[in-house]
Amino acid sequence: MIRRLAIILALAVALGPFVVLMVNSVRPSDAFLAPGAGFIPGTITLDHYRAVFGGDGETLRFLANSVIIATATTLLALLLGAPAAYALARARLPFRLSIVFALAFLIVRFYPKITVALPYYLIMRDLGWLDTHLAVILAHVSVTVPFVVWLMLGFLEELPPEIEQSAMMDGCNAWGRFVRVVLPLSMPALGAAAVLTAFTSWNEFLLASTVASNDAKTLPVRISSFITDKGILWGNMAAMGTVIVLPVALFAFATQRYLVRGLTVGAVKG
Amino acid sequence: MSDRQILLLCLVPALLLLALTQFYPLAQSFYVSLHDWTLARSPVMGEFVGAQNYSRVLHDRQFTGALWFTLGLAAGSSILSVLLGFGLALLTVGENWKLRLSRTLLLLPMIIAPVAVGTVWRMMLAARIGPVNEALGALGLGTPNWLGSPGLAQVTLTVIDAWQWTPFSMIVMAAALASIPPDILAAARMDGAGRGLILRRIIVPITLPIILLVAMFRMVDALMTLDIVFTTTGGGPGFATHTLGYWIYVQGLRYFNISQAAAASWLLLALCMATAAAFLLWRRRIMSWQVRQ
Amino acid sequence: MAAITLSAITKRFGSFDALQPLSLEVQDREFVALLGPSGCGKTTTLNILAGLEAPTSGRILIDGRDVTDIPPMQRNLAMVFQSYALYPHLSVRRNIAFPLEVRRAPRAEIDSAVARAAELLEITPYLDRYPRALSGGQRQRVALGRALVRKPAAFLLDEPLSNLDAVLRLQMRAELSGLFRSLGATALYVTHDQAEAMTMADRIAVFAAGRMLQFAPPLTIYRAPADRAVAAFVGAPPMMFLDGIVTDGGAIQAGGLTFPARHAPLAPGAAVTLGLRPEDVSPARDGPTAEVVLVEHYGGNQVVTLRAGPARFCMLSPPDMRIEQGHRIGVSVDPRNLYLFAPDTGRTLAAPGLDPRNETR
Ligand SMILES: Nc1ncnc2c1ncn2[C@@H]1O[C@H](COP(=O)(O)OP(=O)(O)OP(=O)(O)O)[C@@H](O)[C@H]1O
Ligand SMILES: [Mg+2]
Repeated sequence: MIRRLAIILALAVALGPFVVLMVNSVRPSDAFLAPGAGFIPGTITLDHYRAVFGGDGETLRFLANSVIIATATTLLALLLGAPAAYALARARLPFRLSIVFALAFLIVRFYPKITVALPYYLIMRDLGWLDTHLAVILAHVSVTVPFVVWLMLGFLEELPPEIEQSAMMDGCNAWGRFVRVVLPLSMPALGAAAVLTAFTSWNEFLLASTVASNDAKTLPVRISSFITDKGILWGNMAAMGTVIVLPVALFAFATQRYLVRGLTVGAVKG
Repeated sequence: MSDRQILLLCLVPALLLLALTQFYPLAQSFYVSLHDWTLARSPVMGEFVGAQNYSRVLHDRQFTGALWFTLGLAAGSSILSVLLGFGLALLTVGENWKLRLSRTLLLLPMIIAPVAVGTVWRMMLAARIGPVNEALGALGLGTPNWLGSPGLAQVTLTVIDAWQWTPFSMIVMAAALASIPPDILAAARMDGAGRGLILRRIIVPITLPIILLVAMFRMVDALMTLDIVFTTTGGGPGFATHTLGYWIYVQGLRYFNISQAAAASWLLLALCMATAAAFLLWRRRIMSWQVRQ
Repeated sequence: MAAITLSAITKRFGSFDALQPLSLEVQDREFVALLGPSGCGKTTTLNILAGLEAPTSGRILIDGRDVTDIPPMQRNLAMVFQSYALYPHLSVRRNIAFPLEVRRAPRAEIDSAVARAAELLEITPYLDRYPRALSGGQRQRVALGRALVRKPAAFLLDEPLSNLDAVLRLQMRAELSGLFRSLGATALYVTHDQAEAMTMADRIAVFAAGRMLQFAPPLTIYRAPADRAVAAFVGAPPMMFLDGIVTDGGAIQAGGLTFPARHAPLAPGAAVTLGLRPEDVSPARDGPTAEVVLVEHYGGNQVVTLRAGPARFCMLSPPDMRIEQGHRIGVSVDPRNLYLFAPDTGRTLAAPGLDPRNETR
């Protein structure tokens, strides 16, 4: 009984703010200012969404950017990370290079990205790639590829060696073994890595805000600038917040099995 | 093509990307930190100044203030989230659908963008329209200026960070708890151990390596805190809630005071690495001590 | 099919010698069993032959071609793993078709090859199931099917029956034996079950501790073991060993018993190790007696453990004979069936299979 109450309390604390966010996003502007107007708004309005999405259609563009960047990041991170993990696990490199490389991937998790952000900005400036999707995608891939590599490494460690030896006897070279046997078997790990990567990219703020000023801006960057500009437009802010939060919440619900595995394995193995 | 060549081809692109987008910038940032360069004044890097940027940063009152706040936030947030996360994991461990659903729902704060979390809490804590103060006011408990007064804002930010990341420690520790063989617990119960004793003598020691790991991740990540500052306080009031990350961001990307920002960012990097290393060493000590017991 | 030569193969793992220099010639169409206790290097030998491990030194030839540095996929050998190593994400049909798909064989050819293999192994009804929905015996057949669909230079089988229950094992032993004989295939078969080796193989290579002790046809291994270790390993219940002395008359005295011997003359007074196979000891009305220590009745026969002085040995006796523990009974040994070993080196001094006078048996 006490346990159940405690869980309900925890749920209220964890979810309450999101309820407030969503309710505020449909609360008429004038109702914000009335003191003691009550939590449940008397009338509901979609004005804030109209304001956020309407006009110049900017928000829609940022939303599209976020979707494009998260999708491309996920695909690229898997495309680069999975083969790299396989190579790290199987290539017998001299001088313990496999361990060195694996640690190189791991260490990305442990330093502040702000250290990289400044020079990354300069590099992108020199390449003329500032404010392009590519600049944001490359940054996001570079911070998410380590997830993919480490999740896959953990999985590959547990794959019985006979399966691949058997494929070897059946005539597969390394690429054939990877594509025909290892990849299909590592779908659970790949799924977890994909979900984690997508979330990370969708939510990432620092690197995106460093290199994207307009054309490649993502939603998190938008919401921060939005607030400093017009800090008091609570309704619009709530609508914007909802647009960022809701897709992630739904996506998390749909992919919870992978998500939980990704979070726990990533941490426990690391 | 030999297997070896194929595997190398598989490895090279990812390594190359990492080298170009992470390690090269890292090195460059270190290089810049040893030179004099303010982008606002000059598009090219100035002369070599040795450790001058480091000493200047370390003598900067804003920087040291940010350092203390960051350390406090990291310690407070990680302690809070580890304890609460462990508690929630104990509460929700189990395999019926209600518990599983609760665990999933409790995850929500951590999968949301930190900037959005900042927005949400700014709204919650807003002076006049925020439900928190409305409720407190209705109960006659006063209406504190959560994000507006320096000391309180620091605590508030710490709690918000803990709120966002408690689910992380919960989910990892729930996995650790679930992996304790049930017969160990059953055996302890047969031996007549009460709940408190089982928790102290069995559950905590078994999960201790994981707890320490979670604490390390939390601590290191909290030292890098940056995003939520943007959408809650913007570093204010004054410089009260400048985290190191935020201070560096402002110095580097707003004032383009690049070389000092780079120096500061390497100090932060060193702090993160040292923290991670210390935790890992501590964990190893404890684990080997446990093995010897 | 092909002949296989291993010449002076060694393998070290760190500082541990897993294989002493090993040379082995397998003829075309020969079925060779690698027999030995756990950890003696059988799997290592097979893996080196397959190319899954590189030898520390030595060469491997297949049909005279040196394949030592050629990767496994180009050696054209088929392997059946102890754990079967079926691909869990592929149906039985695709599992069997896999080696052909990898080689990009035409669809029609793959289909007919799979159908043929499935029919041969009687797994046609399961073709569309996944490995996890199969019993151990069925999985084993699928693993075989995957080896059979192509025409490998040789088959390598690593304890393929060890995961099966006793009954299925007996049945599969007979089936496999017939199958490989009808295929006329070269095969290397790893096992630690001597009955499998004895019944299936043309020749047996007996291993112990990384060394090949003897390589010969089953009956030779049994009746003319190269040394005491081989003799001890082959035969169930196992051979018993007694410390003996050669008497002036050329007989062997061991543990208060005297065994008349028919062997190349040994110096009187020399120490020898006498080996007795339980089935060569039989009850006798007269002759030396020994005390019955233990009687184990197996239904079809009984194994009697006897003691004479310090010596212990076993006797296989007919099931209907009443033998009581603690009594003394007379025993006799056909002098033609005595095994003698040098006590220091273990080398065989005399064995039934080495005696030319036994050849008519
Ligand atoms: N990768 C390895 N590293 C170190 N030692 C190894 C390795 N592989 C095998 N060995 C050792 O080599 C010896 C031979 O191993 P092998 O697997 O060939 O034995 P086996 O005869 O197949 O035994 P079993 O009947 O148990 O399968 C063993 O003592 C084993 O411990
Ligand atoms: Mg073996």
